[in-house]
Amino acid sequence: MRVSVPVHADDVRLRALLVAADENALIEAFDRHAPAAYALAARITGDPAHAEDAVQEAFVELWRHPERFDPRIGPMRSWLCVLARRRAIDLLRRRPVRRAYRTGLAGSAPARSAPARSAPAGSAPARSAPAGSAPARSAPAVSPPAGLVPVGPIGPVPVGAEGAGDVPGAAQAAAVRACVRDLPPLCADVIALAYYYGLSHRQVAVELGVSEDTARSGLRNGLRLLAERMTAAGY
Amino acid sequence: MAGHPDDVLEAYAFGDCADPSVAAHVDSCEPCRALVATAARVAGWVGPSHPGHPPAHLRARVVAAARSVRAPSDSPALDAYAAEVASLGVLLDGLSPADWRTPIFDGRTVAAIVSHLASNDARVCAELGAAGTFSDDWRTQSDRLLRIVGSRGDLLGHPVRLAGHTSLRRPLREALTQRAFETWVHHGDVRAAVSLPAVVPAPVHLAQILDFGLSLLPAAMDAAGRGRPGSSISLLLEGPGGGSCSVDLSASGGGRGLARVRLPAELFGRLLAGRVAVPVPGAAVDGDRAAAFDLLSVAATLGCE
Repeated sequence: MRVSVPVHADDVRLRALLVAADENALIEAFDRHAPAAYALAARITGDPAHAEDAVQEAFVELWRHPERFDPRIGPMRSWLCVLARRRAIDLLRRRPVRRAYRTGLAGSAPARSAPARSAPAGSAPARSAPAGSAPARSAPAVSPPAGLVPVGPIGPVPVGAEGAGDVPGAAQAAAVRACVRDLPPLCADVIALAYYYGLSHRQVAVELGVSEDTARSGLRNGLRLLAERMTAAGY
Repeated sequence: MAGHPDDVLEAYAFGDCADPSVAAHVDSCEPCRALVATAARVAGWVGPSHPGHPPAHLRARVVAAARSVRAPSDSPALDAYAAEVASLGVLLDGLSPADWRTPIFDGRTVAAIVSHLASNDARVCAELGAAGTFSDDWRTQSDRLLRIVGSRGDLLGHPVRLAGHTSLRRPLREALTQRAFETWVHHGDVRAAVSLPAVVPAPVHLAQILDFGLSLLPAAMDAAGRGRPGSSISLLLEGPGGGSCSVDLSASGGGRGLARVRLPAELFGRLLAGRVAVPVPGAAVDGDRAAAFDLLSVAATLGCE
């Protein structure tokens, strides 16, 4: 008889303690997961103060409603990143200043001088949208013309930057970066714009100067490739 | 894809789209569900893929903000129960549908035993006056109990009827220990049913559970017609969570020591749950063997079911 061994035992334990209003559990969750949530929020907002606000709101939400975290769906770190990302994007959208989007994901190939303008070679045909399809229902207000900032070369990860003793977490993050490195540049750019900034297919297309179909297919191909490579790597 | 919310599937997967019509479509459309699942998995990897150092002051700031919206619990009374809930939750999350249908005893399946636990948790919530309807979802019920007690430390002295075939009422803090005990015991039942080795509570929690059981024993001896007023038995529980004590053989008081009984603490815990037959293999008895047999026999009746 098969019973899988869950890899999230600490998440389940922390969840129960958080429901019981155990403050030490909140501190433990912060120490384990704040580095990832903070780095994500800082990358999205480009502003340490806004990143702190986003992380604070994510952890306060965890503390207020720990029951909403379902360990059967995913790890606590990912859930906190979802919360911090959402808040970071909200903060970014409120800014009156012109936005500068950073293309490229962590682990992307070294800096490109300009964003890719064409679909990746060998990419699968797009799942085309109906002609004249409406903008994304959840799309934010269309941003002003943005300055695209190619991401710089990603240097070595600082020692301890992923949480002291978090060997599995650090290994997974390193695997993601390795998989990203091999993505077609357009795919990495599209995922970055859609994931980090919450841009719709149409907005991504405008930012990158490609067709909406190309943006959509780049996103789906990129996500599929990443999923395949991470699965092949044992995740 | 005509008829599909094609423009927002990734946004939905990333948590950016709360449109209920999209959720309903994704639930009912296999291709869209698969696409969303892939996007959500990748988001779960990409999000934490950056390493970073939050500033040192952020932790204290977060804790202060958290306290302002929900007060922390200042009582350790929930610790054992919360630990057992977490431990069982880990196991249940890994069960297959076939595992849930596995029989345990008396024709009851894993699902039935877990529902029984939920029912007993719900009864404690109801005794505390908690509003809400009963759900046989164990996690929902254990969440309710944890949240109620975590936010209402003033209820710990409130008398609550214990689970099982008893009308005994004890303060909530003791009822919580019984919830921890029963959760551990049924956790063991489920593990045995799916061929996994037993687990033992943390020593401090096991000691708390054993103390709770020992506190019930003198009255239980009387109730079983085996009380021996003015007599005691010395009990030595070995290993983590163990210790030594003198158990009165009647609620009217102890006194003369009739025997010494020595056995592993974890074994005594399973005896209290009725999961070990008497005479207990592994128990050493010196002195009045009949009195020791009575004590162990009554101890084995203290489990709830």
